[in-house]
Amino acid sequence: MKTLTRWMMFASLALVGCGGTAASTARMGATQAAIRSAGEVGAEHEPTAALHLQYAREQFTQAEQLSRSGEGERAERVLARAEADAELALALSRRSASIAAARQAASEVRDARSQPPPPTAPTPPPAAPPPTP
Amino acid sequence: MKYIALTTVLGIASLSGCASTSAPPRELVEARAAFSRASQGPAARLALVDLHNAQGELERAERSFTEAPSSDVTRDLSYVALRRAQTVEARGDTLQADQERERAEQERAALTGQQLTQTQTALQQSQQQLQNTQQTVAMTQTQLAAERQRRMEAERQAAAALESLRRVAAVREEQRGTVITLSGEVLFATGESALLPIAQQRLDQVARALIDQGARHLVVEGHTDSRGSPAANQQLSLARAQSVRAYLISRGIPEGQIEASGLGPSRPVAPNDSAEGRANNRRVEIVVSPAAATAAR
Repeated sequence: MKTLTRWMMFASLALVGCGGTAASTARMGATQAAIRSAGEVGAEHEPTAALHLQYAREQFTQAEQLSRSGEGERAERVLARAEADAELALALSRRSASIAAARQAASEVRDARSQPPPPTAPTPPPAAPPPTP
Repeated sequence: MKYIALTTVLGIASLSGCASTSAPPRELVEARAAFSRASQGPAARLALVDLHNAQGELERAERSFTEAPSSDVTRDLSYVALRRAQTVEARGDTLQADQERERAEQERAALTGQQLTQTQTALQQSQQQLQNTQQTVAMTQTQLAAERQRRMEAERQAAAALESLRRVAAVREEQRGTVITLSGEVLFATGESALLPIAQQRLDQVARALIDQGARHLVVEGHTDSRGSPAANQQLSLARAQSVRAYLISRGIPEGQIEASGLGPSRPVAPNDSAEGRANNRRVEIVVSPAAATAAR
């Protein structure tokens, strides 16, 4: 009996040791925030950004599962991938907006350059001679 | 350049370190390429801190590859390094586009300012010309009003002259002009062509009225009754007309403006079979041409 109890204690300690850890809440929160930011700047509307946002979401889900099953270390690495994808989605989305704004500004400069100069006042007709009495 | 050199060193180091053991994972190869692109792009100028951090990520992946070439850890670190490098590249492009936009906006503002100045100058010129035109119009209107006033005054004088003429002679309007008829009895003694003193008084009034009416072409016509020889009557009528013409010239009517003609008995205004009729036929007529006809001469 004593031996059995000792074995059971050992087995439970071993289970705790091998059952692993969950991913850190801070890491989860940071990744979620990055995904949310990318969504807020309109990453869905830029194809490449949308793709990376999708990767980020999928990897976040995968990390949650890994975390739940106690594979904390692996979950942390997948979260790092997810966060990197979310940040790339955000950067691509901003790049797209900035390039569009720069093109628009350049187009407005071209328009302003091609505008005809304001018309100069026409030369008035010579004053009519006073009527002869 | 610094970053290119570093990447090259890292690449060579990792390749030489692992060449004998294992090929680098796809993520690491892509991460190296992405970092190389980023370090040669606008990020090398505009996003130095980001580029430095991406380099740190790549170095971590390279170290992991040296230690455990085919581990999941190496693959994950390489994946993160790849995304960081791509992110840096995108940030570099973003900052460059932002700078281009700012320059374009400044240029556009300058162009708009120039165009505004040009428009304002043109507007001022137009306003000046409008003002000049208005002054010209005002002057012309004043001149026209003065001219209208002069014409009205001239017409009034002409009407007054005609009215005073009616008091000393018969005046009638015909197609050839205003015809002033002076009785032969008043102007001349029988058979004579010299003016009687009383005739001169009357012709003075006629001359004044004609001068007041302004420059008109005048024809002085002498007429007789039918008694006596036609040749003598013709001669007498011409002599009388010339007498009246000479007198009117002496009273100020320009010589070139007045003619004389003798018509004898050819244009009676009454039958010659009564004394009254013959008296009416013995006459001098002054035909004043219409103003338009005079102007056309």
